[in-house]
Amino acid sequence: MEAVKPSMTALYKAPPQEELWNNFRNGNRDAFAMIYQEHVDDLYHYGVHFCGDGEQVRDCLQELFHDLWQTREHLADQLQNIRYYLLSSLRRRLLRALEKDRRHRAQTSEIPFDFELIPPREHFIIQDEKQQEQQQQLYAALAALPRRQREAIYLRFFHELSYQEVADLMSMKVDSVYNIISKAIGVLKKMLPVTVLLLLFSPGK
Amino acid sequence: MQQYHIYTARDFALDEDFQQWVLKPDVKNNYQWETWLKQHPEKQKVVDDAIILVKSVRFRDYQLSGEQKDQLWDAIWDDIATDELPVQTMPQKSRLHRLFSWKYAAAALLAILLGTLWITHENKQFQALTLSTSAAPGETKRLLLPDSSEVVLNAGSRLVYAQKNALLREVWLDGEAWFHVHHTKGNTKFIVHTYDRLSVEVLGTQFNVSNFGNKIAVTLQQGSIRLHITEQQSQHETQLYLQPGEMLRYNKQDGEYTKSRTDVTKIVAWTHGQLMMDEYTVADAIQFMQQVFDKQVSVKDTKMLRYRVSGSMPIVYNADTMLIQFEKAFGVHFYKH
Repeated sequence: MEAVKPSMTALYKAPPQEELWNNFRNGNRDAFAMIYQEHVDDLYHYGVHFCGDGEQVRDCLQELFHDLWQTREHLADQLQNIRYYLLSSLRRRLLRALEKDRRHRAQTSEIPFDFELIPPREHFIIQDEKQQEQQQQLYAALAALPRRQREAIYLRFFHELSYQEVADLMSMKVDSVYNIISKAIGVLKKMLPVTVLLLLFSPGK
Repeated sequence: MQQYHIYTARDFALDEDFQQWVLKPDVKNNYQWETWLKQHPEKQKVVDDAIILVKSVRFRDYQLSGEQKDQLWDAIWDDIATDELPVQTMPQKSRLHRLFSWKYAAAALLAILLGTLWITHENKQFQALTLSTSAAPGETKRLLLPDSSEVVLNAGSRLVYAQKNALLREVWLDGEAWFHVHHTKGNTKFIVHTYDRLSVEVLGTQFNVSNFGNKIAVTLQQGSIRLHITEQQSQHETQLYLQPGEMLRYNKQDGEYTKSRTDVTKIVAWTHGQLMMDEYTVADAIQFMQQVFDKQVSVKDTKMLRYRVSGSMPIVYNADTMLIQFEKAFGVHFYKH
């Protein structure tokens, strides 16, 4: 017996999350393909930031989606946010894999959170070297934030998880998440006087 | 929208609803914020600053290639398909602990027995599987090997595939072929032999091997491969690794080899019926005619051999047409005998 693999291209307009999730739980392979297609990029992005090892991330993703399909009947029927569920599942798996890895290589003492803030260059036109230098220092300050803090910032700003979700996922208090984000915004705020010319832009990607 | 009129840029940037609008604008939040701004035009500057703050938080981009995404999807379904095999009822090791009670012991034992039987049975299936195929001059062949690996065999090439046991897949190549080796669950090795002192060992990857005349060239497109080269004098075996984008050239006569970076798309263009020419000489074209069509082309004036062009052309699997294409490209004329 061969598993009938749904085509990756069989993607029509996505139904609402809840419906998609329920279809998937009932064994609909197209719904499964849609969930994969919709989330795999974001999950990979998070995974590589989390551990810096693309291969490891792909292994964990393979396991994650495989298990997701196999256990679909036992999964909660009321799912608030698929993305949150998948991110936290990936995080657990990566931690476990790294844990195992660490036992092999006794030396690694830390999990590498490779988060990096990219300067918003296009927003600023820097006039002189002094200002440039000043800006460099501020980015250094941001990059020097503890890894966990950068992870929280990343989850809020890149994956748009709510403060509450970030807190849950990382087992923190919501207040702490607020404080971390506030600290980061504070650092960025110091850069604003550096702005010489604001380029016109409106919200939207 | 309660206290917003007294918010600073920093307050806005920290506000979850505001962030959401900047990060993921939709009809609803656009309407809300734009309406609010119309009522509070004096806050425009503060809001602009806050938008910059939120947008400044960015992270380095990491992406799966389309190919990786497909491969991952295939791998997931390979796993699922394996689970759905009716005979495989053996529980996974990690779950054994939880399952292990006397109630389940008998069932587990039976399952293990069945599993073992199934594995032995599968081993038997591998035995004495040998296939051989060749592409005649003037044609290429696209093959799917029994292990799901994909091969494109170039004109005038021959390939023998053998799977003696569950742990090893082997091919013998005379000529040129591009391989997309399927990574198996049991990490079965795949070895390309060249009837010479060089062989290529892989798990799952994409690469090109050209084995004509005195030269062997191995080019890695994706993944990683290990090369085994046995030295002529000492019989000592050297192992070399290739990175994607690297090519190893080996000379059968003296056993010399060099590793270099190369443009892989050019090397594997033939698998899509394209000839990519980079400083391509008449001598190269003559070699091409010989390799692909088994046609001899000779020139009287050896200076002509060094004429060169760059560009690309479709490979037409008809010797006369191909020759006309070369004539046009080089601005020369070949006479038929």
